[in-house]
Amino acid sequence: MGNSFQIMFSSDPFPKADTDPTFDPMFGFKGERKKRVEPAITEEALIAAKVPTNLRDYCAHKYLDYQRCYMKEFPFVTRCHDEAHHYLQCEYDDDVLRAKEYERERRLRLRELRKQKALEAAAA
Amino acid sequence: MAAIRNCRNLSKILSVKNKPFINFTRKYEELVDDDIHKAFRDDFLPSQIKYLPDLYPKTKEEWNAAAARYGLHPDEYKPWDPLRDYNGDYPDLPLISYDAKDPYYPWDYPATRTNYQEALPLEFQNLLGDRLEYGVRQPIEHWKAALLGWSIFGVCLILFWIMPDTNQALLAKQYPGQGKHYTFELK
Repeated sequence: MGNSFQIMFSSDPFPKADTDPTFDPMFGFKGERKKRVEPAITEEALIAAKVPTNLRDYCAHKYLDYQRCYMKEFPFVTRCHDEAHHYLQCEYDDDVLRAKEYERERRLRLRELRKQKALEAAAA
Repeated sequence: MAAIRNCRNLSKILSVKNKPFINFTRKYEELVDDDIHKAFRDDFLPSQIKYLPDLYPKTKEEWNAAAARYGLHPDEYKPWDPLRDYNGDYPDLPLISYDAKDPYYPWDYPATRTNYQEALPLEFQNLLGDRLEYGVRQPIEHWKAALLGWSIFGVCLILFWIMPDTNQALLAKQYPGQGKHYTFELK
């Protein structure tokens, strides 16, 4: 709630939600960033399992594990609590990564603004 | 298109050009002499008909007899509209609830505030002391209360509409195969 009001009333260049990053992903890092590990499952398998497109993300394999367990154990689906936990933890970590990307984008935008103002001050 | 034209022709054959059908419908009242309400009433047992209202009064004598049957003056007696709600000769009485009646009048039946052999409105079961207080002046009129309730609902709807998205702002969700994605760990 507080963050929302800050975004509404602040003059800082907050990035919009659900937008792509605009800066070089390697910029500002001392070394090279690790690539995200893609799930060991093919697109064809996801299509065959009728996984909705919005769930074909980096947690799709865990989602599929959970669904398999659910179908196997139905109606005693509480036996799938491990699978459900792993899937939800994966989605949570994905959200944390997105939040980190958002914060990085915000700080780099502020840096750009600072640099621009310093240039203007030097020119004036 | 041809199917529609055929349908139209069929309906024309069945209705516009159907002379026997037209003649029959024009003279239905003369040809078929049946009173549906009477037939319906006769389907009941005599022990049940005893408690049913009579058929709608058509003559002056029937009218006066019906008024006398319900203990009303012929000028005061007004049966239900037979075309809208057919209730036989039962009178369309004003709705006065238990709460709207005088509590100090010596009623024959104080529990229902009615008198012996008094004609009761059809909705009488909804006008008892623990039911609707129809006819009683309310602190807030019913239409005002309804308006108030709906306006609160509307204000809530408007608030939900104008409220900003208070979810934490995140960048776009990453899908494998759609661009290069990195973690925040170094190699």
